[in-house]
Amino acid sequence: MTEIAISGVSKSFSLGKGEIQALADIEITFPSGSFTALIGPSGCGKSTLLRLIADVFPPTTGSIRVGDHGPDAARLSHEIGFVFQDPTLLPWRNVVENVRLPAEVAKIAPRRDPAALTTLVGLAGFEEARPSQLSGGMQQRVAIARALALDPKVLLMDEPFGALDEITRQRMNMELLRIWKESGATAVLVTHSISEAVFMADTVVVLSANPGRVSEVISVDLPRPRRLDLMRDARFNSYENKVREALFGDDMKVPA
Amino acid sequence: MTPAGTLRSIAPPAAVMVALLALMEIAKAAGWLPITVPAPSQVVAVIPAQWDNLVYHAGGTLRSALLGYFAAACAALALASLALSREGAERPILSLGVLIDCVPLIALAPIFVIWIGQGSALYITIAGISSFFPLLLGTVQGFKATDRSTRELFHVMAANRWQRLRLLAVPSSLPYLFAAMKVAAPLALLGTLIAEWMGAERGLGAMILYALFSFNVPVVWLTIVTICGLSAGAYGLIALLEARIVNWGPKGVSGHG
Repeated sequence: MTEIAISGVSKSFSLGKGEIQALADIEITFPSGSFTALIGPSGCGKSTLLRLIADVFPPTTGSIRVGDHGPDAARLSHEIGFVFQDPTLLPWRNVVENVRLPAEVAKIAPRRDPAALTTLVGLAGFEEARPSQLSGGMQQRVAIARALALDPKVLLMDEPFGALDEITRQRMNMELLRIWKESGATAVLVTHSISEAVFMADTVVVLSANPGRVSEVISVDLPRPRRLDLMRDARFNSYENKVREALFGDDMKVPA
Repeated sequence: MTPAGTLRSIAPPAAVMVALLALMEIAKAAGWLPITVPAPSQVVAVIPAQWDNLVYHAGGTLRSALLGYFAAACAALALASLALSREGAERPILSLGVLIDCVPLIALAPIFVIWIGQGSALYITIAGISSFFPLLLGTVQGFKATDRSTRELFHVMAANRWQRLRLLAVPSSLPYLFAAMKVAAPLALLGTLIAEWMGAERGLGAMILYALFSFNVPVVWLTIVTICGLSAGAYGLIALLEARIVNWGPKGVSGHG
């Protein structure tokens, strides 16, 4: 069971002479096996929060627990899968070799078969292809397969489909939900899209900027598995509106 | 590339060369060229008599150029590693490279004659100095050719220093290294030649001087053509190796799909 607990976390970066505070007083818990979406304006520190969980850098104050230990121990025992905004594939390796990379680095046998993972993300037949031969969407599928190679307990995604067109993106989201359900990982998704956040997540965490703070936590009580027709549902729309109001606040009010 | 494709890409430049040589031959026969410019056939005619001589001197030059090039590559690798492993070391090291590159070799060579005297050591040193800067620049740029997300990926995967170097930094740097190696190879030959002019007994630089002093114009030209051939050959050999090794398309570490 891997719960992510963030308490009293703030993060500042030194920027030339001054200091910039990216996050302040963050207090959230992501339940084990849940899917959480982080949404907020640019500069609200949602990517920073994701990187704190992945131990890319430590928090300035506060503490983070990933399962039974700190983010560093979770990272060192290969419990974290990370999908970046860019595919970040190694162009000199083919698809399967890219998927196998985390196991190679960890010097352990892949916890999931790279060829089977390639099939899971819908790239059967492309095992030997080089990244430069794939479309952007296919490259990002490889990145997802790679993140799952060591069967991570935590799956962190930083706008993984941000560069894709709306249609591909919708399709990838459906597949991502299927893959996540099957993996049982605790997932955190950073996104800019309100409908994506509501469609994917059990909980939408709305952040505000300067410095990044949690402005609202909205739990999305919609049935799973989620299908596209859910987006026509009135409940779906009301959740979208809740997120929208949390993001835009007073701007949403009808002028008197 | 298919054989037919290779032919298609080689044919036009080859045709231009042949046409130019034919034009020169005709111009010489018509008496339009001065005595200092021989006909191509005159240059070819001296090859049999000069062959052993040419091989002897070319061998000397090649050896010095190769050793200098190799030494420069090692120095570039060591300094580039130092530049990138210590905070703030990159600028002074690159500045040093620029400084070395800015001093004209022809002015530097006599100083080195005084310091280390005539002989192989001199030719190798000058060859190394003349090919050093592009190698240093290429190595530094190559080692920096990874993007932030990919470095973060290796961090999240808990890769150690050696794995980062072997699995990421070295392959990412190869396109830059090969570009630098292609530029530097003819420079190493040029440096050797300049050093040999300072008074060598063996080497194409020496051969060209002997021919010049005995006013043997075709041999001077033969030497020049040989040097061009060696430079182009070195470049071509590295380009061939590059095509074999860097076979993953135009992009470096993939950013956007």
